[in-house]
Amino acid sequence: MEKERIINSSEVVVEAKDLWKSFDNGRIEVIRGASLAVRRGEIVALWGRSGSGKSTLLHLLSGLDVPDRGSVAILGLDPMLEDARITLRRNHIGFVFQLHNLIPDLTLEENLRIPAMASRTPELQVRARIQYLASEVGLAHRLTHRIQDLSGGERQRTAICRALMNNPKVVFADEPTGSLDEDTGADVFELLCRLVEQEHVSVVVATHERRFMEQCHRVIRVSHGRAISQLVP
Amino acid sequence: MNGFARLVFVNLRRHKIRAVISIAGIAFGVAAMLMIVSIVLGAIGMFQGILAKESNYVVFERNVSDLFFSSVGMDQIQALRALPDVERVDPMLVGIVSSPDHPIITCFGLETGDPRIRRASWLKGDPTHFGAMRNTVYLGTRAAEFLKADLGQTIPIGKGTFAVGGIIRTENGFEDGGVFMPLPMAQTYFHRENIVSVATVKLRHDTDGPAFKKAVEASSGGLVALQNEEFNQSYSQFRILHLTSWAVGICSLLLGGMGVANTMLMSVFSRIREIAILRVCGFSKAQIVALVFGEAGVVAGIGAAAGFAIGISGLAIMNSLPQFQGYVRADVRADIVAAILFTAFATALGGALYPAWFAAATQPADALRFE
Repeated sequence: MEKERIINSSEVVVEAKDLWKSFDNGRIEVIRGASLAVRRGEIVALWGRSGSGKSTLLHLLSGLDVPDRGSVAILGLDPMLEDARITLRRNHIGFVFQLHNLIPDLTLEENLRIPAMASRTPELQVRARIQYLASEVGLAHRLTHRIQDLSGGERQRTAICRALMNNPKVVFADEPTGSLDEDTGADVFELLCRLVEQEHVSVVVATHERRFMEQCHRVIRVSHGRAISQLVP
Repeated sequence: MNGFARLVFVNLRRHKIRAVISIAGIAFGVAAMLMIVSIVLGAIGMFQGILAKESNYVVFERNVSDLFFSSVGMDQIQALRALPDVERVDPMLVGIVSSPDHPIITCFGLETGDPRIRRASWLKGDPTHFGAMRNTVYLGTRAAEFLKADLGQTIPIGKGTFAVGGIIRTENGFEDGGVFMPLPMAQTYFHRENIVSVATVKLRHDTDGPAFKKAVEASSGGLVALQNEEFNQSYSQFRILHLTSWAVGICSLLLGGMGVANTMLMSVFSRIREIAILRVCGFSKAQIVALVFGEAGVVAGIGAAAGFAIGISGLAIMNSLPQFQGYVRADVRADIVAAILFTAFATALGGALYPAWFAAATQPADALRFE
C-alpha cells in the first residue's frame, strides 16, 4: 500500500530532462539523453553494470556535476546555480558515498556536526539531532570515538547520519555498500531504507547489486548512459 | 572550541612538522623584524636624545646629507643668540676620532655649561674644570672602558695625546661611548676654526617657533631650523635607517610567508577530497576560504607570539652583554608591535591566497569521481 501511495504521489522532488554528459572533450559520452523524476518519499535505485553511467547520472541529478545539455530541478531549484546549490546542500539534500568520506581526525560527533556547521543550525537542535541519529544507528556510545577507531560498517552508518543531519528531503547515495562485506552492506542498506522511510526522505541510490532492489520503490536501469527502463520490484 | 575552529586546528595538528616549520618561519621573521627595527629606532632615539637636550629646535646647514658635514659659523651662533625669542643656544661640533684599537669614536666639541656636560653624572673629575684645562678630554663611561683609560692618564687620540680630565655617565649610550672636548679645542683639532656642526636652541615660549624659523631662514647663512620632531622625520639618515630596518624586517617576514604559502598549498592539495566533502555538506566557497585563512591566521598568530618572545628575549640578552651595553637600547613601541603583527598576518594571509582560491574552486565531482 505504502509503495503504491508513494509511486502515485504527484510531488516530484527531483526532475531531470534530457541529460547529456561527456568527458575528455566530448570523446567519451557517458550520459545520453537521460530523463527521470523522483517523487517525495520514494526510494529509487539507479541500477546498472560498472561503467554504465549510473554514478555520473547520480552526480548530475544531485548537482555535484554539470550536464553538457539538459536540465535538473531539485525541489524546483536549479542546482547548477551556486546560491541554489548551497541552499539545497545545506537544507534539502544529503549524500552518502561508496567510501565514507568522513574526516578521520575528528570524532563521530564532530563529523556529524559538519552539515550543521555549514547551515549554522542552533546548538541545542544539533545536539538533539546527533543523539537521535546516533541512537537510531546504534552508535550513541561511540560519539566521542575518532573515525579511525570505527569499523567499516560503523563509518558508513556515520556517513548516513551525516547525510540526514540537516533533515534533508532527498538523499543521494552512490554505491553506499560498495566498500562493505555482504552482510554489513545488507545491514547498512536496510538501515538507510529504514531511516529515510522514517523521515519521509526520498533516496536516489546508484548500485550494481540486484539484492537491494526489493527494498526500493522503483528501479531505473541505466545502460549506455540512458535510463532505459523503469521497474517496480 | 567550536566546530569551525576545531576543523582549523585538526588540520594543523595532522601535519605537525609542517605546521611547526611554518610557525618557525613566521616566528623568526617577527623576531628579526622586532630586533632590527627596535635596535635601529633605539639608536635613532639615542641620537635624537643628544640633540634634544634642553632644546626644542635644531639649527644646521640646509641641504646637508649628514650633520657631520654641516657647518654653522660662530658668528651665526651669536646672531641666533641675539634673536629676541631665544633663551639659549648650545653649539656642538661633531667629529670622528680614532685611537689605536678603535678606529671610530664619536667626538663632541661642547661649550662650558652645555647641558650635555652639566646634566651628566661625573663619575670622576670635576665638571667645573671642563674647558679650563688645556689638552684635556673627557670620556664617556663606555669610552673609558674600551680605551682602558682613567682620570689623569694620557691617551692617544688621532695624532695627539690628551689627558683624561673626567669620566662621565650620560643618559645616552652614544654619548657614553664618546669623547668630549671643549669646543675651541675640538675646532682646532678638526681644523674647523669658528665652525660648529649644529646648534640646539631653546626658545623662551613654544609659540615663538614660527617667528624663529622665519628669522633663521631669512638670514643669508643657508641655515635651517627644525623643531625636534620635524628634524626626526626629515633627517635623511634617520629615514634611510628607518626604511632599511623595515625593509630587512619585511623581507625576513616574506620568507616566513612563503613557508606559510607552501604549508597551506600542501595542506589543501593533500585534503582535496575532504574539502570536496565540506562543499557537499553545504560549505560555501567563503567558508572554505575562511577555513584556509583560519589556518594561516593561527600559524601567523602562534608564529607572531613566539617571534615576540624570541625577539624580546634576544633584545634582553643583547642589552645584558657587556659588548653591547649602552649601544643597544631597544625601543619596543606599541606602534612597532602593531605594525609587525599586521605584517606577519598580512604575509601569512597573502601566502594563503592562492591555496584558498584553489580550495574554493575545487569541484566536488572532480575530487570525488575516482574514489
